[in-house]
Amino acid sequence: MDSRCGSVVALPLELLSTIFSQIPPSSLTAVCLTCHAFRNVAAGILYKNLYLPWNFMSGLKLPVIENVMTSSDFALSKIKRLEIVPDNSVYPGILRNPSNRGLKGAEDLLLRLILHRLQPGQLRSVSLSLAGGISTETAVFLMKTQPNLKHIDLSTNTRPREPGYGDLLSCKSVSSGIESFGFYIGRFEEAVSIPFAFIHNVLRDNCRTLKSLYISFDKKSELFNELENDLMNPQIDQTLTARILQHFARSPNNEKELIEFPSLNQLRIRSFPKFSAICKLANPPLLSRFHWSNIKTLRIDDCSGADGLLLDIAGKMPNLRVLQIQMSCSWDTLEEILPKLAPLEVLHVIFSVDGEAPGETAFEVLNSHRHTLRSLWIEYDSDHRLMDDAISHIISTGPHPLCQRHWPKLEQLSLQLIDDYAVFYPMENLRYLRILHPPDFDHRSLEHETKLVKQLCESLLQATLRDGRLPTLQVVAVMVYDQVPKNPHTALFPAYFVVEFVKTLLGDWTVLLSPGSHHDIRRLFPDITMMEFERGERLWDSNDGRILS
Amino acid sequence: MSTIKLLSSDNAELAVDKEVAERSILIKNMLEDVGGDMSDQAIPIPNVNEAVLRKVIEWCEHHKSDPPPPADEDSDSRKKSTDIEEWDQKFMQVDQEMLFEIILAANYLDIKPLLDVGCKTVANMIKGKSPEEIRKTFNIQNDFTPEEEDQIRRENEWAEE
Repeated sequence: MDSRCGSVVALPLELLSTIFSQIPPSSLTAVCLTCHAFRNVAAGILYKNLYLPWNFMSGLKLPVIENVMTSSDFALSKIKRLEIVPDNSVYPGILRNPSNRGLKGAEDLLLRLILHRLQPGQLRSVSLSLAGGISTETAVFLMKTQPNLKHIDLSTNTRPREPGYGDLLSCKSVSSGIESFGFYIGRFEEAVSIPFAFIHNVLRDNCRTLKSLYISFDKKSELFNELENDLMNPQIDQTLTARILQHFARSPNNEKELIEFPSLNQLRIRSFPKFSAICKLANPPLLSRFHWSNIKTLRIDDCSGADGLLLDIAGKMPNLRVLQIQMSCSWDTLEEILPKLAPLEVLHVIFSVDGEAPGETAFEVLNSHRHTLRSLWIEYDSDHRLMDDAISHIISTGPHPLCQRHWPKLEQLSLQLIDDYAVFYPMENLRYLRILHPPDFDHRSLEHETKLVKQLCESLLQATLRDGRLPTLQVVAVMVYDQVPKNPHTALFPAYFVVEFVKTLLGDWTVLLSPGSHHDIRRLFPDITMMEFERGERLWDSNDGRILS
Repeated sequence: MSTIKLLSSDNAELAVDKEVAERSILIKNMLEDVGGDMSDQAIPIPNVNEAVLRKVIEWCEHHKSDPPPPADEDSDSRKKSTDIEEWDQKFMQVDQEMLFEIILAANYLDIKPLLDVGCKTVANMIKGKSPEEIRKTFNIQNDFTPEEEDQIRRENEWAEE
């Protein structure tokens, strides 16, 4: 061996690690296979995230579990984040009833066996709620063995008399210093008080460090119905629900018990039963515990009757940058609050209309946000479609140069477009386009949509080539019917395309469309917000993390 | 413009413009500590030999009027890791020993943009290559048994998901 040998290996570990952190995973796997010295450094980067693909038809992707279970302790000890991610591929032969969300007993056991192979305290972040619920036993095991978690996103399926039933309730010594906490109350949550007690414990012990909080309900869960009934009960104060909720908001007996959120800057809630009633419940009201002036991200999905809260807090959030209000308020409310808000970077609204549909001039209320918005989603949740005038007011179908200056920073756009996508005029910085259909619209096949997206990209290419540049578009999402299930809750999902503009051997430019999964897009374009309601700390550490930090 | 002197590990004395030398945060802080006047005394740089120090000074000369690097650059610079400006690419066309010496010197002297360019250059030498090609590039011996390789392949599979 000559004197050069090993010189790269002789670099200090932190420099090797800096070098390797600039290499994509596909090449890092090769680095791991070169020699022990390289592998020892690359492993810390390559094995940091364990993603377990999950499909609602066929559950956890078993070959991945097998690879994980037969991995070395060394590789597994590097995992810092464990996440269940959506997977579009279905395995024939193990199909299940898609309405039965939650991990099946055997899957739950596999997950627990993986947890058994990890070192105590090695995990920093878990996101497991996608599968719609892990068992109480697994949740308790996770909380007990991983006390260093900073980001937790969970969902449990609690069945009374299940092992661990009482443990979760008394799981007092969960991690402290949690920064992000999410809980999804799933379909099969049978024991009402358990998840509430768990949430209460976590909030009580971590409310001062929490920066991000989300809570969501499954509308078909027993618990949701129970809450809804209780909240409609004129003697609401005597219901179990009221007693549970007041537990969160009541004046505590001592300082330590007080739940308020001085550090919280992201609040996301979804599918709360009788939201307006919850807002008023308890004295002092639950929502008075939030320091609205700190809030940078507010997302309210599917909580009808949020109008009152929004009107009340609109003027109190000088730091708000991200506002996502979907199917929770009317256009009138939006029209009233938008001018009162600080300039937003992200605005996603799906609204209903009380009276007349907003016309061409209605979107003038967006003017105070026009120069700062990076991401915009406007959708009209009703039987009519947005008037064409209104749409053209936003996307400007004409080539007039003034139109393009309307949205100097806009990178991501989600709009209801119909028939001919090619009317779309290129925007300077647009990277992600998500095409929605009006509610009265017949959904089309993937094949048909692919053709339309291709046409759209081609016309974009022609338009920008005339200006001597290439389109900035990178990702298009369209809503199509899933070919496999005909389940009404899951039939619609976005199909994603990665768009590339490439030069052919003949010297022309052409459009290359590659279909990709949600997970592919997230990995390839970490700074693009996918716009779906995402659990875990996704909003925290990626795109919006940049503006929130 | 004031000039200062640097003393390499092999005792060569090099005169440099103060402004150029201050691309190194280590030297900049040192000068601040002694009150700025080092005109009669050479600053010892014990970890860097003359040839490497000359190379580093050449880089600092060329980049002396660059704006200071942004405080938070991790996400952006990582994305564009293949983007190295042309002058820097040429500058980094040296044998591997020199390349690693430059990286070590940039690290020691705390010249972050030079360290960045060096790391990116090495990263680009690795990207897209097979394990065997990487070994060849850096003259590394394969010290895995076939069983270990099988094991790693299995682990890599979930890591790539």
